[in-house]
Amino acid sequence: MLSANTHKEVVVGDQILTTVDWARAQFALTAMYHWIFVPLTLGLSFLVAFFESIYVKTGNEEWKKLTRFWMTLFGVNFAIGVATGIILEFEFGTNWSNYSWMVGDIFGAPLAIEGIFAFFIEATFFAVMFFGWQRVGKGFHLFSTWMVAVGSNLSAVWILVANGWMQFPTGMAFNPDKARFEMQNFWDVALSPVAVHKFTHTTSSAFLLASLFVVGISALFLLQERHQKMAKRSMVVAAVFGFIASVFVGLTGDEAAFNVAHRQPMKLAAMEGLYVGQEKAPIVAMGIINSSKKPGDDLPAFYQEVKIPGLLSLLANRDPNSFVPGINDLVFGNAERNIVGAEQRMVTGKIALAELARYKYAREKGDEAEAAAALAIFDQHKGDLGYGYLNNPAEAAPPVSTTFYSFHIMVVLGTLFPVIFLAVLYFAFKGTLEYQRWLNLVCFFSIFLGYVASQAGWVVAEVGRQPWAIQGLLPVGVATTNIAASNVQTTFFIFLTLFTALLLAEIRIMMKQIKIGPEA
Amino acid sequence: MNNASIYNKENTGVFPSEKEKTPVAALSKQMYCLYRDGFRSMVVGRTLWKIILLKLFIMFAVLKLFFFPNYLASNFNTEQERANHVLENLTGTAPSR
Repeated sequence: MLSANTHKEVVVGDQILTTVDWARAQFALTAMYHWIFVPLTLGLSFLVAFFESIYVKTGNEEWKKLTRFWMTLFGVNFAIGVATGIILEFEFGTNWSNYSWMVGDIFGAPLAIEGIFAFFIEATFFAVMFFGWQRVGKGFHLFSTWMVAVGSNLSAVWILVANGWMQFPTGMAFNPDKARFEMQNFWDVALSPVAVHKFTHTTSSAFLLASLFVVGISALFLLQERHQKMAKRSMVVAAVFGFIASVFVGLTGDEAAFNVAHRQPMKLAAMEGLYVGQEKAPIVAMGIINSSKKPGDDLPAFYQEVKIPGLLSLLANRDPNSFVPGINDLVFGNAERNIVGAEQRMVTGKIALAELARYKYAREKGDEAEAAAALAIFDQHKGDLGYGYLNNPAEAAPPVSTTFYSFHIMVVLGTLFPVIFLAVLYFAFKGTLEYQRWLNLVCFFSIFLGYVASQAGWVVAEVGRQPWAIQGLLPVGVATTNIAASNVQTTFFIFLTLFTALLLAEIRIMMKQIKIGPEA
Repeated sequence: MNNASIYNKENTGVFPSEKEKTPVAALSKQMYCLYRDGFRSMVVGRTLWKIILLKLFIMFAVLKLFFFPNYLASNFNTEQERANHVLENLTGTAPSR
């Protein structure tokens, strides 16, 4: 673990955890908790809009009842989840002050605008959606419901663009006087390939999860032999939406992996536990990874594995015979393949840091000539700035086991879900859906599996890019504030308690509403 | 969009009176009534609002106030001081060459 700052430590059992460990744990806890609610909000808002569109088109009051039922569950989820993301911003200011200062010019204004925009959309159209059934015309009510769906999804844009920028920093320049990354080209930031795929993959996975939620709760009704007509209607719409979303998740996931291969090859290597780069690189369909293995040692990467030759090369380069670098290549370099490793980049990074320090000192002394000379050398080496903080090149590799397993869990589940949606549609059109007890049980438990896949996806994205807060430029150990670990530890447990209480409240209220059903 | 196209005239009670002087005033009254009656008629919404308010209170009046000060804003007065502090952290934390 990086500990570049003079962080104080807290001993937990036989582990010594520093401020950065607690800050990361707290951020992960908050973000993962936040992500329980967000995907359901993003996806369910569209499903509610579909249901209401059918109601407006057909004039059938049963569709209205159905719409209002799912809208109530949407409201419960939204209410419990609302503002949980703000805690992340608290954490930026307190725990990650170096990071938040450095990226403030890029994200500050857009995130604030997005917050205001989302607030006004939600305050206006949410009110009409929930309170306006008896007050506004059908058309305007439907318009409001669609606006809630579109607005909710648009409000996810900038936070995902921000995340994309952290994975692939572009469209900016580092200002050494202000210690800030400053935006040079808005469109490079907003439309970077990583940001675009981050948004499309994330939102489509949210649609998938919400579809699983609707299918799963409806399946519960079928198992209980309650509200069967409403349940089957909901399942058909959600299964169609879910299947389309699944296909889109697969396509955007493939594009995202292609981007990872070129922008974050270390993450791709960790996702597949690939230590030694090779041509016709395989994908590990199943495997038990050797968690003791370190970059550069002779231990086997896997205890057991089943590989599909060439598939990783195809995924990474669209060529099954191509070369995919492994962790060892990226840590120690591979001259034959013209790959500069972290070991070499550390040298460059340390030059950049030394010249930045010299520049700072020269400016303080008022020696403009020396400052200019230092800046010129800094500019030549600043691309590897973050590597200058590493003590050992192996620190450039993320936790491989966590990344590998999370990626494979996500992919396996992501492959299972469209099969479930197709099975639902098959039996729905056959007219025997309510008799498929096994399928309805699978559908119900798939709600949980959907959350597992969704969270696993974020674990791949975030753990897989360690040690970086900003890829290649700022490691997490330098991004944190120099505060006592015990401070962050205290708030970690406060959040844990608060979040658990809120989650239990949500589950309880949801279960109550589900028990009441659409008759409420 | 004009008011007539938005509001369903069959549902009376809050619909704008012909005597309303301006469309803005009429729309404001309709919006007010929409929120007022909506809040009054909430069932599960009441519980949710209690949770939202309690949550916001804990977040802003307790956590933000006592546990999450903005470190740079609290400890430094000017932008330049903050920049210098961050630059100090960036340049002072690297292992020696």
